[in-house]
Amino acid sequence: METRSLIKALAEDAAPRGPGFGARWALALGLGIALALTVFAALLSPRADLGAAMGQWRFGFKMGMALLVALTALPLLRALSRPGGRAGRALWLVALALMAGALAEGLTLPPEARFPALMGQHNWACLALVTLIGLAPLAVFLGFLRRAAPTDLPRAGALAGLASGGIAATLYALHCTDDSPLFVAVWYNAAVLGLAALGALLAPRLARW
Amino acid sequence: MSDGLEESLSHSLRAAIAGDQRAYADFLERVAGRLRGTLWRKIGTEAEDIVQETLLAIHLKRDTWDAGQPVLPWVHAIARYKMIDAFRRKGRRVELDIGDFIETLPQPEAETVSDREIGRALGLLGPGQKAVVASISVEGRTISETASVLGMTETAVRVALHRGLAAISRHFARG
Repeated sequence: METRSLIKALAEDAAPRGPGFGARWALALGLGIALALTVFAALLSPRADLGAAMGQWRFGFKMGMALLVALTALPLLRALSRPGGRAGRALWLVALALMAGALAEGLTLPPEARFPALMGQHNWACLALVTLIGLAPLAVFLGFLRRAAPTDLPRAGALAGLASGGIAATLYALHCTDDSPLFVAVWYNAAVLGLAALGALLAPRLARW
Repeated sequence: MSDGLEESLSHSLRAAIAGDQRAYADFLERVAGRLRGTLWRKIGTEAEDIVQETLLAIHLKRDTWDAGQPVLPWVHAIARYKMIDAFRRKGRRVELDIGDFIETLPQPEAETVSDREIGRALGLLGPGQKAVVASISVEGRTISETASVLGMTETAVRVALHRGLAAISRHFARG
């Protein structure tokens, strides 16, 4: 087929159809959060002492970090889903904030209390449940990437994983009673980074266009 | 690259996205000429295949262009992605810098007609979609002419055309 013939066909197909990029992004975002919320509600409930915990800096740090990961990764995911989109350096700020929190906790706790704080009460449950809640939005975001046009697939996939992990961690933080920043830095992050690795692995296979 | 070109190309694409077929054909012709110039220097005879895959991708992904942003970097990112992907399918590696696109003279399509990869992909479509896409592209009919020749409604022709083009593109992404 000659190129001018192809252009003829493309021009005849010029009529706009279907929802545009912005609408599809809004849909993916809404659906991803709704599905994560559904999984959370089916499996878990907010901790009984949620009201009292809200006044604690450790709980605030935990919620803040989880939200920060989600709110940083989501706009980057949107940017990277377009041809030539760039990620910028915002993610380093998240990593830096996290390390600062863990360091503060490490310095204020007496040495013998550090390891128990890091291990917490429910470390494996945290790892498994954050991952599980995050899988639903990850699937939605990978589907979104497939319809969009990311040109750096591993990176876009990793951001899909980070965003899903951030959403899942925010929800799980409402349930979890392990509040130490050391615990958050290790176990929450292991789950979030696991989802990011999964996204980076899957996107080149599932989201090619 | 001159700002005048950027300006007029993004103007054309905005009109095209609103449904202006003539502006769209003009946009695609000019983009094809520019890409051909760069890609010929880079990869020689395979350039036309990449030009065609890039045009198809631009078409199917045109809503990912942010109308507030320059259009050329978006076009170049798609061309770069499609070229790297095409070479990866053949087990080869190739690099293309954004700088390669700058200062390139547009080049007309070569007269030698070979069976492009996109022509082979057309052959893989089902009979209905193949008849519609071939009628409009190769034979140059409009949607309404195609509808009367093939005895279909215009809506059915539109749907078959769009699905046929999307299927050709998917064939490349899978290949």
